[in-house]
Formats: sequence, structure tokens, C-alpha cells
Amino acid sequence: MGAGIRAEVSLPASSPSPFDGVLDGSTPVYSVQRTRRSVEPEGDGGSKETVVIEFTASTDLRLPEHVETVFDYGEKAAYRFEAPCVSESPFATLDRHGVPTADAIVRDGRLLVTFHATDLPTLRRVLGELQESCADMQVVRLLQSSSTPEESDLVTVDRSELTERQREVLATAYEAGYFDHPKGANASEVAATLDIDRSTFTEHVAAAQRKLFAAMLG
Amino acid sequence: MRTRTAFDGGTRNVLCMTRPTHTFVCSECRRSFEVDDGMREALLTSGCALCGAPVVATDLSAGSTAAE
Repeated sequence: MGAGIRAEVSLPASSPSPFDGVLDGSTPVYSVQRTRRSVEPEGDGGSKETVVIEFTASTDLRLPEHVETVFDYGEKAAYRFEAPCVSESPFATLDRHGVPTADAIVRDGRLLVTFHATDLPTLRRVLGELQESCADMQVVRLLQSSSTPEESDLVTVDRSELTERQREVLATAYEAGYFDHPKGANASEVAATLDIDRSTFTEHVAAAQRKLFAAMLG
Repeated sequence: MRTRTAFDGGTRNVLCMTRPTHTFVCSECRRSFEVDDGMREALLTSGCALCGAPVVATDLSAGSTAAE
């Protein structure tokens, strides 16, 4: 088993993030993909690189003109825009170290990036450069691969097993404190928030729990 | 103790991690973040992941306070 480190870091969604000027601070982004593109300018100039960013967010966004919708999933959509390569961008920093981005989202105005470093010296170099480009970079969490398989306790939960409605019901119940002890809200109160019957609410919760527990405990 | 990943806003598959966690506060650079057992040992052996300052056990407290 490798001795790699999973790092989760938080940076402002504003510059040097490529989302600067694209998103306001309140827009959550659920996933980010990117690719570099070589552009041949007119004339005899050499080629230059741009970066194409694609992200998934709510469908009802007001976005700048240069951001296009490439796929509509219903409640969410995939958006795409092209931007110049900025060497201070956290993604460019990871590129320079040959470290792929494992995950990236935007929440509460912060760009949250996950990556895997093969060892501590590599992690130090990447974190140091991220901090150099952005003084407001924060390390959220560092996890090291377990040295023995017995120490690992990871399961993969495929949330696409849940229907959109089940996710909405679970999220509403969670936010309302339905799963807290003592409860922040009872079933009737959460059902009223969702404008559904109490029995419908409990059916949704039970169905979602069955799927989640099957993945967690199976 | 259950640790949620910080990045759970999407519709992708996510890894649910159930590992003991600690909150590390560097006595030198004052940076604070959450670590698991493996990373705790790495910090004690190799120093702060950011500034390299030596780490002692009292720099690590049980439990997680890192922002989700």
C-alpha cells in the first residue's frame, strides 16, 4: 500500500482561481473538470495555451456571456468557459508538480481542492507553492494511506442510487436536525417544510436509509 | 468517529472515511488542520506539513474542529 497523502485545501474562489469573475460568492459548484488547449494565434506568433473549465452547478445561474451551458441535467447543468493559463492558479500549480486534481468544488465562496501527494516532501512543495500564490490558502485535512490494510475503513457510496427526491428529503431533514439527538425537528415538521404527507416523508427516508446502509454495511 | 469528506456537494461517488481524527495546530506557523492517525505519526516524525517545524504530541488534540 502506498504512503501517499490525501490533501484537502481551501482557497478563495476569486483570483487566482479561474472562477474569478465567473461566479459570485454564493454559487455552489458541485464538480470541476479542466483541460488545456493549445491555441494557434493569427500571424506568425507561436501557439499559446488556454484552459477550458467545465463545472456543474444549478441550472438557474446568471453567468457571464463567455460561459456556455453544454449540458442540462434538469436541476443541474454543465457549464464551460475558456480562460488564459494563469501560472498562479491552484490548478496550474498542481500541473507543475504533476499532481492531478482528485476533486474540486466551490462552496461558500471557497474553492475546495483535493489532491493526492505521493509523499510528504511532495506535499510540502505543493502546499508551499499554493500558499505562495495565495496567502489565504488553508489546509482543511490531511489523510495518510493506512500502513496496513486492516486500518483502512473506506467504502464507496454511490449517491446516484438515491433519487433526486430522496436526496432532497434527506438534505432537508438533515438541515432541520431531524437526525440530531435530541431532534431539531420531527417528521411532521420536516414533512410540512417539504409540503408532503408525514407518511410520504418517512417512506422517502426509509428508502434512502436502506440504500445508504446497504452500501455502508454491506 | 466518523469523518465526512470536506467535499460532499456533488453527485459523484464519494469516499466515506471512518477514521480517528485529530486537530493539529502548528506551534510555529499557527496553521490548523485535521489529520488522521497515519498523518499524525507523519507529523510527529517529520514536522509540520507546511513550515517543517518540529511537532510534539501536545500540538495534536483528539477530535475534529476543521471547517466542513
